[in-house]
Amino acid sequence: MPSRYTRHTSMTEELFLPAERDLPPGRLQTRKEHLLREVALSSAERDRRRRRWLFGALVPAVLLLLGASSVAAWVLGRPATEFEGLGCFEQADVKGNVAIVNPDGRDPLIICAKILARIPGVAVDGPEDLAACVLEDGGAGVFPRTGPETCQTLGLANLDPDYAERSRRFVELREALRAAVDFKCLDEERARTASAQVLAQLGFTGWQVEVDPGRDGAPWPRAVTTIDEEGKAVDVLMLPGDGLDCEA
Amino acid sequence: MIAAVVVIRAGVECACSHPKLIGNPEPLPGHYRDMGQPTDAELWRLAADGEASAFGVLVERHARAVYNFCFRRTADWAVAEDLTSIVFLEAWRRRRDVRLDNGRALPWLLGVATNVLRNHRRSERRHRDAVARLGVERGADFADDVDGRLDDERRMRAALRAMAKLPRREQEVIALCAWMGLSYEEAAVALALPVGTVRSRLSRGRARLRELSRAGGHESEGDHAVPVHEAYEHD
Repeated sequence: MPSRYTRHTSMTEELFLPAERDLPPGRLQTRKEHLLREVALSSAERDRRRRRWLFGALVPAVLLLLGASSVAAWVLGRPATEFEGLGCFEQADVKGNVAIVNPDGRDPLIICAKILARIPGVAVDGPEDLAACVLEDGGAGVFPRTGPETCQTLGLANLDPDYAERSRRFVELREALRAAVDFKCLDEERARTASAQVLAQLGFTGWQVEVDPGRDGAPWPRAVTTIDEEGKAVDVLMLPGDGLDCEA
Repeated sequence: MIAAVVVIRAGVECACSHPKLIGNPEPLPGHYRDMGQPTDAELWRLAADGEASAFGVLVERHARAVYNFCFRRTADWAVAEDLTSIVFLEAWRRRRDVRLDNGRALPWLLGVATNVLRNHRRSERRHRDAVARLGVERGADFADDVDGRLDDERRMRAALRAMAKLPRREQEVIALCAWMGLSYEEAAVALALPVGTVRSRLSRGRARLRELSRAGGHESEGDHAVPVHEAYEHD
């Protein structure tokens, strides 16, 4: 019996966007008129609510201000939460040229020293010439050292000492999920179970598996995973099959 | 083993410079002044003071871009149309929270749209009654291009499947910069992030999509299709 899921050029399909379109004829005007009617109706009520809200927010705002210094301290001390890319910067400048590489579990200073040493004009002889910081998006960035506080000068936190170990575990998890779940013929429940087993086997306690079943209710026999390190979750997205004989 | 190295050159225009990717046909700030028409900032100030007609001009000016952005994040034209209304309702609700001194309103509107898409259900709940009151019928006038729109949706679902392999924060930056033509700075406004963060997220997403496209092959698919992969090739 032939498979319901036939192989197609999935990546070719995936790599094209349709062109932009106008709203259907007449629809923009209709929408606009309705919107204007709606906002006119709501304005008075919203203004009243806003005044009430402002009053109610005064006390919480003062409390928030008092806590602001603690937040700043947290920003400068937070650990990296993003392991998909490691930035090796040519200069001590977050807007400068940067090579993005995949962390592989090694010390990021060693990874970047090797890359930056190949770039003409960059005075980096080894890891000791570099500083590793946590970028604003939670990823790791390595910069040529400008002094004992290179990261702080850039407004960044020093990279936490266990980054290499955590990135090694991240790579391990990613590889295990690829082997057990990604593009396999798994329905939603099996994908969830397989992902949970991987997490348990690798000791990722407290992590969740979140499954997005897809949009239009069709059977989705394949799964692909992404890792949300910050939210401690494996996100599973169900996809249509593309040539794997999922009925066999 | 290092799987991929991508070098990003500073000072290069955003991926959005791809001519096929111009998602916002609006003139730059100042243009309207020369034409005797109000700028976005002027309109926004009026709208913030409760002038609904000024808001209406902003709707006319930016609805197409918001509509296409919502489509590209949902792969559904009908949903995108409702979301466009929700985005403008939400923008009106928050009209006093933003001040446009010289800039365009579009980056901020797309930021609102990103939040609406991120919290789709909550936004729908908040504006459910208003959307119900909008009560716009649809159907008949789709007939002329229904095939094209269905094809768009099929193709967009495929593109979103590729995007789904990226973390959401990278998807959002790619959608704004590469798909809608915002500059790094505008995307930073839209997402309330530092410019450096936008750059690093875009470069990471770009590197990952490039890997995916390399793994899967790449061919042209017609004049109207915009190659996602090329959208990131700006160095």
